[in-house]
Formats: sequence, C-alpha cells, structure tokens
Amino acid sequence: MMVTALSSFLFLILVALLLVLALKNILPARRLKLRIHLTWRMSLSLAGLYLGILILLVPVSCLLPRDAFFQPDESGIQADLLGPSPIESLFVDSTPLTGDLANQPGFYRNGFFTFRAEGDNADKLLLQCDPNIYYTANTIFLEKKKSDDGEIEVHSYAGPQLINNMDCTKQILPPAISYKDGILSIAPATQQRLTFIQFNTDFTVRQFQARAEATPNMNSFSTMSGNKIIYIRIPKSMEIDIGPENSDDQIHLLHNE
Amino acid sequence: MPLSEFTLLTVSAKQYSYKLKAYAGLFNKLIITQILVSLLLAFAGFSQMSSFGFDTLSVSFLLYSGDMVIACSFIYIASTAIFLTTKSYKRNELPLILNKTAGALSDAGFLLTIGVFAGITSSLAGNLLRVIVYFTSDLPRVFVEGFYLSASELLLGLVAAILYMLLFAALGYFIGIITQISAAFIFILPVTFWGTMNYYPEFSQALFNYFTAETSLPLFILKITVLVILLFGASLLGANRMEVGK
Repeated sequence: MMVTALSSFLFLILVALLLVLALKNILPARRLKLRIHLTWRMSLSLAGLYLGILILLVPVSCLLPRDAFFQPDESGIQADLLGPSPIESLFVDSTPLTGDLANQPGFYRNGFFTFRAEGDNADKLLLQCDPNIYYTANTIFLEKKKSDDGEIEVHSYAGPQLINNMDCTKQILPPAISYKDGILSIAPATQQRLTFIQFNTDFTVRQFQARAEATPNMNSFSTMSGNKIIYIRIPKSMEIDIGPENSDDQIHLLHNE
Repeated sequence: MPLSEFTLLTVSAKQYSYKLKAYAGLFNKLIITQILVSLLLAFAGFSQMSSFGFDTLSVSFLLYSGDMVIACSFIYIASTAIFLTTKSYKRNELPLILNKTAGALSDAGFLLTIGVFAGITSSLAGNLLRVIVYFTSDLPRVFVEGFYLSASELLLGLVAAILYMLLFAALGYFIGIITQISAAFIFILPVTFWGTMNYYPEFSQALFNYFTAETSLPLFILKITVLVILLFGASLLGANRMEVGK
C-alpha cells in the first residue's frame, strides 16, 4: 500500500516535471523582472554559510536540555494502574476515605471545590447529575462530615489515563461542579484536545534500521483509562436527595462512624 | 594554448568550473526551498496525525521528520538536472562547447556537486527543524524520544541522502537528454511509468523495493553507484547523438 502511494507520488512528480519541461520548450522564455542579482562568489558564499549554520546546529541540537521535554515513565504508573485500587475498598466496605486520596498511588486530585450552604435550602442537598457523568467513568461517593460546618466539599480525582506509555492523568480536567439553592450540579468536563509532537528519524535512516526501531505505528497505540472519583463531603445534619435520575448504584454513600 | 593540450578531461574541468559559477544561483534556490519547507513544517506541522480519546480527553500526535525537506530536494535536483538539458541552458554554454561529451561530463560534475550539497543540507535540515520546534513549541508536549539524533544516525542519513540525490540527478538528466533527442518521450515516459505501475504492479514494487528496502549500506551504495554510472553513461551516449547547441 505504501509502495503504491509512493509510486503515485513519484508518478505525479514525473508528470509535473515533464509538463514544466514541455512548457519551457514550447513557450518563449520569459524572465521575471524582479530579480536579485548575486554574483557567483556571493551565491557560493551563501551556500557555504548555510552549510556552516546547519553543521553548527548539529552540536546545538545535541546540547539542548532534555528536562523540559515530555518523558514517559512507563514502569511506575502502569504498576499503579495494575495494582490494587483504593477505590475497591470503598465499594466493599463503604467506609470513608481515609487520608488524602491524592496520596494514594495511581490517583491524582485534579479539582477541589467548596460551597457554603446558605439560604432556605441550606439543610438539604439535591444532587443533579448530568447522565454523561457516568459514561465518563466517574463514580460519586458521598459522605457526611462529623461536624456541621455548613460547607460542602467536592474533591475530584483521576486515576491513571494512559496512551501506550504516556501518562495523561494530570491533563484530565475536573468535572464542572456548581451549587445554588441547595442543588449541587455535576456535569462532565468540557472536551479537551492535547497535541503531542513526536520526532522521527528521516526515511533515509529508517531504511537501514531494524524493523522494530522504525516509525511506531500509531494505529497500534493502546489506551488504558482508570476510574475517576467525585468525592462529596457534606455537613453532618444535611439531608441528601440523590434525585430521581440517579440510583444508589451510581452514588455511593459512605458511613462516617 | 595549443589545441593539442586540450584533453577531454581538461575541457570538462574548465566547463565544470564555468558552470559552477554560471549556475551558482541554483544553490540559492535550493537553500530557499529547504528553508521554506522547514519553516512550513515547523509552524504548520506535518503528517500522520493520529487521535485517541477517552471520554472528555482526546490526544493527537504530530509526527515531525525531515522527510519532506529531503523529498522536496529530490524534486529540485531532478528538475535542475532536466533543466540543464534544455535549449535555454545549452545556448548559454554554446561558446565553450568543443564536443557534447565534454559538455555532458561537466553537467554530470555540476549535478554531482549540487547533489552532494543537497544531500548534506537536506539531511542536516532535520536539526534546523528540531531547533525551531524546540524554541517555538510547548516543550512538555514534545517527546524526548526521537528528538536527539545519534552520530551514527546522522552519518547514515547523510550518506543515504547524498546517494538518493545523485540518483535523482542522474535520473533527471537522463530524462532530460532523451526528451531532447525526441519530444515524443514527454508522452512516452509517463505512459510507460503509469502502465508499468498499473499492469505490472509486482514488477514496479520489486523495482522500488530494490533500492528503498535495502537495509545493507554497502549494498545500497553499490546499487546506487552502478545505476548512477549507467544513467550518466546512457545520457552521455544520448548527448553525443545530439547536435552541438541542441
């Protein structure tokens, strides 16, 4: 397939060249009026200068610091993803999240929101979740605090999001969360698009390299997506209404005892 | 200087020196082409862009390489070789021509020179692209893998690019010469090429793979050298069939 595409490309070049050749022979020669006259000395000096600059760029490109680049860390993050997940104990025991989940291996806190429960509905909480929130691998945990401090805390965590050996976890945006008149609305984050740049060796080099070292096939990239957690903490005396569109399977209540 | 002192080699060398000066502007055009393509690649991005997504995140990859710079240099070298055989170029060198063989030899010498220059510069242009991207892109989004070239990769790229340039120069010159012998070749060549590709795809693929799938550098050098000599030899024979000034 690649050969056919390249052959077609070469064929196009050949036709274009021959067309230009034919036109050049048929049509009278017309010189472009606007020309910069360079003597042969200047032209060859320019060529030498260009070559010199390109040669100079070889050590320059080698000396550019490596630290700023994206450097995939394959081993650690994949082990985190494959290892026991702290989320499992939450499903089994329904015990509160002990400690900071962000310190658990494989989890990254990408958002933290606090809302002051005020107004007529300050003692009630209605959860209004966009249905898409569940399609985007989010699990909601709800826990009552030990005190009545009048604050609703929402923590958002992302599990490992991998594309091949590339960790995109820290690029995941938190869900859109808002609170008004006793209603806590949760919607998925807006669509994000990340563009990564990958340099390949030239085809003149790839030709002589082993097949394994050749250009990676982008179609064979694998993706691994970890869970995402929305962890809501509400004041002790606040009444919870999970809303008609949500079920107990989707919103997990944790017992804080 | 007595006429007896003019050997084919001295005449060719003098004509080569003349052509190097007369056509020095062709080097500038090549440089402009390479710089423009490099800038276009660096700022506009290029090639195989693949996207992957999970829920709210989609990730795309932009692949960069100096392939386009090298490919454009191929086209430039081939077209330069063809133009060297056209009437307008031949008219310029008419006062210096003693025989067609010397003219063709000096053409070959000039094409070898510009081919080697194009091979070196197009290969090194990959570094220019890297440096531009380094200073203009969001570095945390640039993979470190593939960014740095080893000395062996650089050398391998240089040698292969030079050889390919010489091949394209010889091919372009050959095409130019035979189309000067008979204008019918302007139609015969593409038809033959297209016909071979469509009716004998295995043959055209094997021919293509003969060079591009060669993984041994010594064998690759041998194949290209032999073909370049054959093409220039055939062009030389063809040039002898033409009248001086044609």
